[in-house]
Amino acid sequence: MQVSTLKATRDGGVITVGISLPTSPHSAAAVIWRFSADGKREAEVGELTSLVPPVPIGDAVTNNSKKFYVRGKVLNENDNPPVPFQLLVTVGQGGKALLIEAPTEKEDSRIGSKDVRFIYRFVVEVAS
Amino acid sequence: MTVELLSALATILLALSLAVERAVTIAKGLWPWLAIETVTSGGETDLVRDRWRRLAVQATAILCGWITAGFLVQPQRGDTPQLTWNLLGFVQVGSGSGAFTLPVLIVGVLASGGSALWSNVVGYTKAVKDAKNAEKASTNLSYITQAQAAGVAPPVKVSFDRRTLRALDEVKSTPPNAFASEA
Repeated sequence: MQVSTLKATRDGGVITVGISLPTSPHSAAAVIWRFSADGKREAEVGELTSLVPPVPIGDAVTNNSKKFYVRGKVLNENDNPPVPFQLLVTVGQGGKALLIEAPTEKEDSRIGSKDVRFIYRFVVEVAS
Repeated sequence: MTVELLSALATILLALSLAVERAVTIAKGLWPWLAIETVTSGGETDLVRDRWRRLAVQATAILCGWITAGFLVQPQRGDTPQLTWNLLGFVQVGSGSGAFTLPVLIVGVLASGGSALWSNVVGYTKAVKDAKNAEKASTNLSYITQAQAAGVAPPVKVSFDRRTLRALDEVKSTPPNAFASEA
């Protein structure tokens, strides 16, 4: 299980999360949940798709030490044979991207006639 | 000028201009030459020869507007409603602290413009209301952004297509119980 760390700043603005597929025409949808520092699920904080801009999840101070769990699907387009795709999760603050990463936890790196599930986790740390 | 005052002014002018149009119609019945356009041999209005008739119609409209607006003057003393008529008085527009008055003659001249005037006034009123609505929407958006920044706003909801919605529903149907869960 890989967990990324977002190094946010206290006055850096609102934290946003988005997903994108820059190299393929597929779309993706995901849900993001917030967990407390000790790993308890607190709330669902947003719905993401690759077709809409990143969604805000709160400021850095409020989210300090909080953990975020993004789970979603890349939607298939009935490709035969399956084609490679690149999914990126972008986590930013104040409109500036701080993390742009491909989820390592996904069912497959190619997509055919079945949706591909993925998971991405990160934790927010506010620099003191 | 607030939207309420603009609406009050539009209402007064609308009512007055309807009365003026009725009065002008009566005047045209009394003096039929007011209603008969001078036309060219081609059947079109002769703008030069018809000028005096049109001026007479406009003067009649202003006169009717002035006379009718005189009835809108409120009594100076006492709270008892009573019919007053004062050609040199003032018409109150709106109520409360923002209310203002206009001379009867000005109100009469404005009302004599008929539909050309009050349709413009209605247009301005609508534009101001639209601007107010946009301002309210912007304020609401600002509140939502502030709430999101504070972490107290509900999840962000966006309109998605049916396929995306189905995928989101499937993902949400089994929320992760623990941060380390794989499912």
